[in-house]
Amino acid sequence: MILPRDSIRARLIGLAALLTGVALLAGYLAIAAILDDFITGRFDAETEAVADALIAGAVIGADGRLHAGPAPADPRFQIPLSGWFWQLTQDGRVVAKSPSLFDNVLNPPQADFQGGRGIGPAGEPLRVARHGFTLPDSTSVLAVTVTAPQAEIDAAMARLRGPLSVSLAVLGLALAAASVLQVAAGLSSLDRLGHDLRRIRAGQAEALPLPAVAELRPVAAEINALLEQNRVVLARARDHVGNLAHSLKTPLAALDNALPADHPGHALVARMDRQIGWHLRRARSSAAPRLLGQRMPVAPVVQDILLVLGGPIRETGLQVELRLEPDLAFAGERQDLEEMIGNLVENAVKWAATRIRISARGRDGQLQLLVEDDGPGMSDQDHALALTRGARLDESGPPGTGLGLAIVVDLAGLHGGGLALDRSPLGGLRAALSLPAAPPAGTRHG
Amino acid sequence: MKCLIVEDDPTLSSQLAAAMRDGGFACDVAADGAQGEYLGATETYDLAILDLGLPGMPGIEVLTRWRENGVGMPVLILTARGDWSDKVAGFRAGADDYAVKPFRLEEVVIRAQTLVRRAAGHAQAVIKAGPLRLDTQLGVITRNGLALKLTGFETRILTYLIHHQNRVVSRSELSDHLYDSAADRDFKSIEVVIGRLRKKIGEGLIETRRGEGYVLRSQA
Repeated sequence: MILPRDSIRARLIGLAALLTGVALLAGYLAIAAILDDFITGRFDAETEAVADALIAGAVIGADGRLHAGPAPADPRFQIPLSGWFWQLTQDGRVVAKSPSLFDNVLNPPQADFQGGRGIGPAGEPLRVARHGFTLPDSTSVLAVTVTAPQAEIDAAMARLRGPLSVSLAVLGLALAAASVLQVAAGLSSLDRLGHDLRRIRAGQAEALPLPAVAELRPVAAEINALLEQNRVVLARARDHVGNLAHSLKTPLAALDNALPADHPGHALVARMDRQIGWHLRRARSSAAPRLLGQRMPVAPVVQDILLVLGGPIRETGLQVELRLEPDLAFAGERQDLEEMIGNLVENAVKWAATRIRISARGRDGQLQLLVEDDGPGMSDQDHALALTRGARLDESGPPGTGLGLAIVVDLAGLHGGGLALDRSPLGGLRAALSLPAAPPAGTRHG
Repeated sequence: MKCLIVEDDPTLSSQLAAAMRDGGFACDVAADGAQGEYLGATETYDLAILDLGLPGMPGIEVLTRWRENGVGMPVLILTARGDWSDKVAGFRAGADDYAVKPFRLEEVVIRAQTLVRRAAGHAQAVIKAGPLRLDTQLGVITRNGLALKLTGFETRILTYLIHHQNRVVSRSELSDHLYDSAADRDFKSIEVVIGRLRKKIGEGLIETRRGEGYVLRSQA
């Protein structure tokens, strides 16, 4: 998984890794220091014990000279240049020393110290304990020095540091894995939110479900409020458009009827009417596809349109055949679907001789709507012409705005769909409208 | 035939009223939704022409209230927007037909006549009654193929009787559908006009039922 640097996940994991790394390093240094002290302490205790034994065994002879007691039994003091040395001095002179020193002497500082560092005969570092002491019946300055090889201390340390760093590294990896899991768990509700938002955009849901985590609930509530506001604003804009239409068209109707029958002004009124209609529809519909979460079933809209056209259909005795696949829905608004189906069906009713057929099916996320009639139909040339805005092919037909097909083309285009015209097997026109389909209702909350 | 026009634009309203009177209707006019709702619910009409964009009370609400209160007259709605959602909303509320503004007055009158005819149960545009033929779209009444010369009031009475032939039409019912609300109702003049009509269309077609009213017999 490659994450962009600006992702929350990358940041959280990075931060966790950095902090864990720093903490582990500090832990390593602290534990190593403690171990160091402990090991060094053990060596110091050994040298101290040897020094104590030497002091206890030392006696001043009758000649006033210092005599060492029994030598320490530890065999390491026998091995030449082992780093394990001891020596006794009287007034700075060496009076006794360990065999391991061979013919060398130690030159420790004059002051007492324990756990200091020194240099051995071969230049090797040594751990040194030195104590001055006095004995009864003597005024001599006596001192005992015992050393241990620093190399052994370092070797013991090295033997411990290896496992220590491995186990801390394992701990670090475990912590890193834990933080990745934690971040994933924490962000899964955000992913869920994003998923739900995508469903709204796809028209599968109208509002966000309440998230399971408390922190995201206010966010979801705000988004839902925003969606609702969006709807309200759009509804208000629609109302304004409707009022504008009313305030323009009513006087236009009065004007039209006030003109004498053969007055050329009628054509102007008709043109104004079409212009107003087109622009108002445009203003209304251009906002619609941006509205989220729309899903409009096809069947009820077809029924509503047939209700409106019921009069002319009964009057002319037309047969209406419906072939609607169940559960088809348009990913858009009711008004737009009504407008498109209404215009197509009205057109078919106007031209049909005895029957019309309305069929709808879903195909690859597209809604295919066919409206057919058995009227005179059109020539291929007229098919193309009818699809252009404002073309009036029905001058000779019953009264109508003549803009019907152009309106459908316009609206279908706004929704990313289209309208095609050809000849129906029934004999008349076949209008094929394709529109984006909304997923079936069953998947709405899936 | 009596109709109610509910339209807030005074010019369009008077144009409609004039055209409807020419088409053989007596007209009452209301300029806002509340008044229109009241008139439609209390008076008797054969038809209402209802604008959807009314001040006070929207047309859809007027229509809904009428239907809720059992007012069953045919209603023709006028819509300015002309989009299908308006029409669908109107029909769902109980409208019977629509006209989109701007419309031709003649078209509205023809649609109104068609609605009245359909409401009286006549499927065809020409209604027969014995030797009489009423062309509801032209408003012309013929007897044995010859156009009758009738005054406006005579035409209105005879049209109503032809729509409701073979049943008793009382004088008060007739006056309800002949006079607009502002006019003086005069049963005497109805009797006089019936008398004149009998002479013009031939005796025996219109029977008087004493104390009940008149019957137009399709089989003389």
